[in-house]
Amino acid sequence: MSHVFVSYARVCKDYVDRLADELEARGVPVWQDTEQLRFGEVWDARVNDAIRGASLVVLVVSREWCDSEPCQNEASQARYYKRPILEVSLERDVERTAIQIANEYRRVSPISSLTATVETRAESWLRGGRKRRDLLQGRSLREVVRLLKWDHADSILTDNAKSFILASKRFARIVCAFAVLSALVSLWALISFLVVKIGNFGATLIGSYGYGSSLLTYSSEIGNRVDPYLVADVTTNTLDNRAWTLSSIINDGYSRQLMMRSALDAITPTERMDAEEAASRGFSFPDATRTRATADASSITAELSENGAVVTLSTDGDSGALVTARLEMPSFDLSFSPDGRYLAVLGEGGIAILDGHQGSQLLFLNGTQNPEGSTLAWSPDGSLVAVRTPQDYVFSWPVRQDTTILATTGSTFVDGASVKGGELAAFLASDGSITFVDVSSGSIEDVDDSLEAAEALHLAPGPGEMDFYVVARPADDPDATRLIHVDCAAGTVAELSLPDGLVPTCVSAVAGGSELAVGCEGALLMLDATGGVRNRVDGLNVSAVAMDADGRVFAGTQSGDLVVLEPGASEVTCPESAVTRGGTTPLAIAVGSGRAVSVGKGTVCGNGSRALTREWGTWVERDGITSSMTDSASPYARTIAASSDGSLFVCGLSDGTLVTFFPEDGFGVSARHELGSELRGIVISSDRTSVIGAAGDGTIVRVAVDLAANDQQALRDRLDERVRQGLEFGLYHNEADIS
Amino acid sequence: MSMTSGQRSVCVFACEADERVASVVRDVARSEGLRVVAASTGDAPADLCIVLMSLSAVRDHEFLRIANAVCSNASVTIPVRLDEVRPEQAGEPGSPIRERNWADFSQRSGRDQEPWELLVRSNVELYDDFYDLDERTRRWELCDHDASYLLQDVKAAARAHEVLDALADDPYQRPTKVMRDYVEASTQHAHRERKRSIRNRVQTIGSTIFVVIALLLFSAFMRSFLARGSLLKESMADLETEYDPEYAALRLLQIGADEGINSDTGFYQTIDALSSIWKISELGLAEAEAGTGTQGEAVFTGDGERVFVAGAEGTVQSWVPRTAEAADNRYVSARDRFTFDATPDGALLVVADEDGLRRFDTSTWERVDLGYDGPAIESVAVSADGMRALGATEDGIVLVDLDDGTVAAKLAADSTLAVERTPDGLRALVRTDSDVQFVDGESLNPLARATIPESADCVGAIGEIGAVIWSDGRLGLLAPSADELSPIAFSTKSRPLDLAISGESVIVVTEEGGSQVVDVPTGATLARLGTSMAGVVFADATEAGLMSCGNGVTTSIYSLEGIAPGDEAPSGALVSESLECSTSDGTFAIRSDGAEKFVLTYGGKDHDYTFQGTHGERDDITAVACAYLPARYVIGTRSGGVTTYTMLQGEDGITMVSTREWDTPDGSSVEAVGWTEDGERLVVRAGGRWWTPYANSDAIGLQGIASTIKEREPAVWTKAEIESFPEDFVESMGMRVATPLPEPR
Repeated sequence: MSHVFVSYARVCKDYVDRLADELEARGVPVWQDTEQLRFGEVWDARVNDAIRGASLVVLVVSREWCDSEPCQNEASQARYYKRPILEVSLERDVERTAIQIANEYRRVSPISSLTATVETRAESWLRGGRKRRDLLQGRSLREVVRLLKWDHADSILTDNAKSFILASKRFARIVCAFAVLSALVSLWALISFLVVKIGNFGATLIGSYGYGSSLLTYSSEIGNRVDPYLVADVTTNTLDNRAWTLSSIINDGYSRQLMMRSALDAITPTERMDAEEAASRGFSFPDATRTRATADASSITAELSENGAVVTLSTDGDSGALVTARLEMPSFDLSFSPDGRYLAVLGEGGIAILDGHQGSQLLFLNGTQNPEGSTLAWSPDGSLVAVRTPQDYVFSWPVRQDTTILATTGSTFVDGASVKGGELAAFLASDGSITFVDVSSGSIEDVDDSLEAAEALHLAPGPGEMDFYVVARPADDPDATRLIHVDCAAGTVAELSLPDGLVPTCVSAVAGGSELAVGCEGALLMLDATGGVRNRVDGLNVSAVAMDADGRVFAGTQSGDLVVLEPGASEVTCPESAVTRGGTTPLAIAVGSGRAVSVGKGTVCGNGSRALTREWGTWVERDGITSSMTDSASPYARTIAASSDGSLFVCGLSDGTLVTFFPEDGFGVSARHELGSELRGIVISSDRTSVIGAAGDGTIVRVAVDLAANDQQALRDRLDERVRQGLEFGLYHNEADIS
Repeated sequence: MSMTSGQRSVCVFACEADERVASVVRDVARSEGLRVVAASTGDAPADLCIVLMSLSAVRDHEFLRIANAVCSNASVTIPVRLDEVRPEQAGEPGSPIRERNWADFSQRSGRDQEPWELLVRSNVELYDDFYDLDERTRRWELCDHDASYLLQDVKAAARAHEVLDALADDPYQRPTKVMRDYVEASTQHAHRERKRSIRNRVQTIGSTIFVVIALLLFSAFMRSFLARGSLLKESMADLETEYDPEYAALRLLQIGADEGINSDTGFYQTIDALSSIWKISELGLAEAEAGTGTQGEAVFTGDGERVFVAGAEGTVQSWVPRTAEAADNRYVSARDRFTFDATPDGALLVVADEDGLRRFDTSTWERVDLGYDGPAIESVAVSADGMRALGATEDGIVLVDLDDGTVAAKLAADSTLAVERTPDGLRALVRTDSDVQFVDGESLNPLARATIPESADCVGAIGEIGAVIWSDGRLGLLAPSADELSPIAFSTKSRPLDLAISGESVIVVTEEGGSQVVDVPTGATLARLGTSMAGVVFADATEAGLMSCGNGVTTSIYSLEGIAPGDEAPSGALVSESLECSTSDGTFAIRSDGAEKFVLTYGGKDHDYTFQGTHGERDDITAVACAYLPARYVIGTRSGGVTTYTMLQGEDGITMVSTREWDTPDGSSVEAVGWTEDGERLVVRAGGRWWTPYANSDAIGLQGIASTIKEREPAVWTKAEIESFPEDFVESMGMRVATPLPEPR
């Protein structure tokens, strides 16, 4: 609480003393000099301080006061410091004067006290060299700012005080900003410390994570070889085990899904029947096991070695064997599917399904123990294979669980595209013909022979419903590779000339669009529908190209790079994190939902597949299809497609495996190896439930998309169903110690 | 002297009655160098306006109105009282003239010029500033020169200086010394304060910038760290024990060691990795990582100690295949496309391209251009003595004397499938229409011939066994003296990219199958090489059993030992052909009934076991063996399966740890089993031939696994791979970064 400063002439001291007593009695502190402080050339600083710090300055006006220079100086100082001033007369009664002063003091004190404090602090600040520590802070500053906002600071503060407050406010802002920054930095440091610590732990954790993930898949893989029901049961028990759920470092969605997927990798029988029912359904079991079988459709003969370890395929009438296939276990019976496409080989631990021409193993069916004397038989349509045990139990497995053969043609398909809004799939054959397949019904609608090619390579949809751009070597000029416009509706073909004799290698366009992207040896071109060049980027040996609906082009190069050409840009963008691995040339790219996935050499073995996604405005390169998604040992892939909404990607590997994955989810992956021939053209149905594919051997198939791969509950249900079936079929007895 | 720049302007405004006096004032002003202007109520007012006020003036209302307007407009106005007129008469309270300080000239004669001179010379506009300075000075002096009373602002101090300078000759208000001292002190104080303020601001800004930069740097570091972590995660998302076994094994070991994660599954996964085919080394990793790698066909020396690899821009790289050290890098051709071969000792290199034929002494790299003027050679093989070269041209083969480049002989053909040097000499495989001939490269006489369909596409390779030809998807062997192709039970979907022969194995490189080693006698696939590489296109091999596969960027080196069978057991091998075996000290024995049962005897007791195959199936045991240090046994079966176990003595007794499960690639039944003398490899006789896969018997426990991996790991790694492991781990495992090629010379 500040005080009242009384300015008076020396001769009035008695009066002022009594006045001071009255004021003190009323609780008003008074400052009056008790020494000769006001005389001399230089004022005593205490007087100055007292005036500056007073809530109220009382001038005891008298004739002597008016004549006193020190008193005039006091008044001048009081005015300078804009202290409230009250003039009182010596003539007046002391008590009444005291009351008047006390009232005035109480009236002005709240603000005046504050301003006095500010002036005093400002003075100290100036004297002390404007140190920041002397500034107003915190509540004091807030109070001052609040009060002075309404009380016109200009009129009640000196310039120094105003500067002081301004400096205080400025400093407070800086302090606040630094506090925020410090908090951010501290938080950042803490997070970074944790990230680094976790990162280091996580580099190990990642290692552990990768280790853990691979443990999951490996243990399932090993277990599935012998007892897939046990693996399923153990998996469900582990998932239900609260202790594991709480403690496992790899207990996240990805790992859970990986566990379930791995456990479900084994193919177990879906039916058990008796011999009579089997017979009624067309399964024709032999009386004895066979070590030799011939496929009527292909005239290929399969023969088991004496020890059952090898099967040799050979053609009738030809000398020598086609291929020798080493079996995973000693086998004792074999049988070709009715169409000769598959060869089933039976051993005690399961059935190996081999490609009927190449001898490569496509599937392994197990879950049963097949004692010697068990025999094999196929369903008449070739979709099921069954085992009959000596006890006359019959178990059957679906061989083409998800794959339906729609047609077998003589064409060598090389590429495909979706047309007519997804209603039709157009497949290009190496001779230039285009086969149209109805996506819904699976029927072949038409085959267009407008283009005669020595070798057709790539296909892209044109602006119309039935026209296309094809990269091919025409039949009449087989040494030259050309870009050709094929109008199937009009039955015409026309070459689109490229500038400077550029040789096209691949082409991409959006169905119904007015532009196409052409990859060449030495350049990437953007053309309009008539072949006019809209954009050109030189210096790229393009091996694959894809264009999205926005006109953005993704291109792969022979040297293994993936680049992006934004609409209208004159240069390509190289993505961040790109690690080019030697030999990984992209051969096909699919684009969907702002993501591009490339496959080519090194898919899956060799880490050649890449995915480009946009992160924080920058294209970032990550792994695409990896070997964790499939057991396939394929060294390359030449086809990949994306659904129209970009939520599903489907890739055909060189060994016939079809990989489907849902990139947004990141977890949903499914791989089917039900065909031995490589799919070269893939079209995804608009509802994403199936894929129409055309293989290099002329087969046209429909493959159901396993949507459950994206659904943890569905996977869980399948596991439960497997255990239930095992128990029901008597193949699993739940006796194992699952802990 | 005024502060205003340029000539000062003055207007003298008076009523008509005072016009005479006004005229005097104007003259005085002119004489004082002022510019006299007319009174203005609009733009361009005068600097000083003198309004002569008198009783007459105040009676003139129009004059008063204009005078007030002029006064409002002027910068400085001095009403001058000429007579008894009072300010209150000059207008309403608040009107401009009334509220100004009037100069009182009522006691002076209007003609008296001196007062007018003083008036027009006065700096009235500065008087307020002067009074303010005066007060400040007085206060400052009174308060003992307290710095708080000084002017705090540089601009204010400068202004004060200007005021004092302007008033230096003012007739009425002249600055005192104290005022000058005050202003001087204020100037110095203000400058000090400004410097201090600037210093503070610089510190603040500097601190802020520092913090922001630190944050940005740290952010960049974290981003990089996280990106690396992400890449690391991707690199580890799938530990491929089969297709990238070397890296997977090291990673599994590192995690197991660092995290103390020792699970059975992890162990068996590591064993799986150890059971896959490992490369000896990979050449060109440093260049591949830098994005500049180019490697083409490879040629080994006979002893396998050196390999020459075609590089970019006409260079040949010389490497030590087992250590992946680059020995040399030499320009050998002016062309990008060239072919070359080396003598078995590597002393001579022969290079052929469109420009001709030349030889190099590889010790000095002395170049000798040969006078060869025949057709361009597309493929070349040099004789063991380095005297002759067999070249494939577009119209046949030529035998060239390497002394002078003369053509010693030639043979016409539609195409040449291969030229090669074998232990029996130079050989060629040529085709004309449907006739394929295996030709002696010296005499150019056919050694064997076969007929293939004329339209059939074919690819060929030559080795000691003869020629292997691929045609229309099928492989066949054209052995010396044969008159037809012997089919090899192996087929491909697509045309092989390359073929190479070593012993009785042929490497077939196809797009869909990668690089496969095929057993010629049986057609069995012995191994897949280069599974961690993408786009393998080259294959080369030596008769000594070294193989290479390259993808145009790097070249992986493999050994056939453990992959291909031999005709004899390794020297010193300990092999058992029977169903019984015991260690020499009798502490450990194994026997089998020839079915799936077997009995281990140790600790003086028999322990019964049943053999189960991969899928839990039964199999008949055909041979057993056991050994110690470490205690181990191996079982061979009728279906060609081999399983080996190492026995561990633990707290809970003896544990059998399976260290290798192996199948004969050709499916032949096991006839005998055992180990090499050092126990590192299994020795298996099956189908009359001897196989030597790794046993992994010592790969028990972290130490055992570590030492096993260390013995087998590839010679070099990429920098990224090295950095993905902890430093101490890298050091302990002796992992080395691939060193770059020297600059080509």
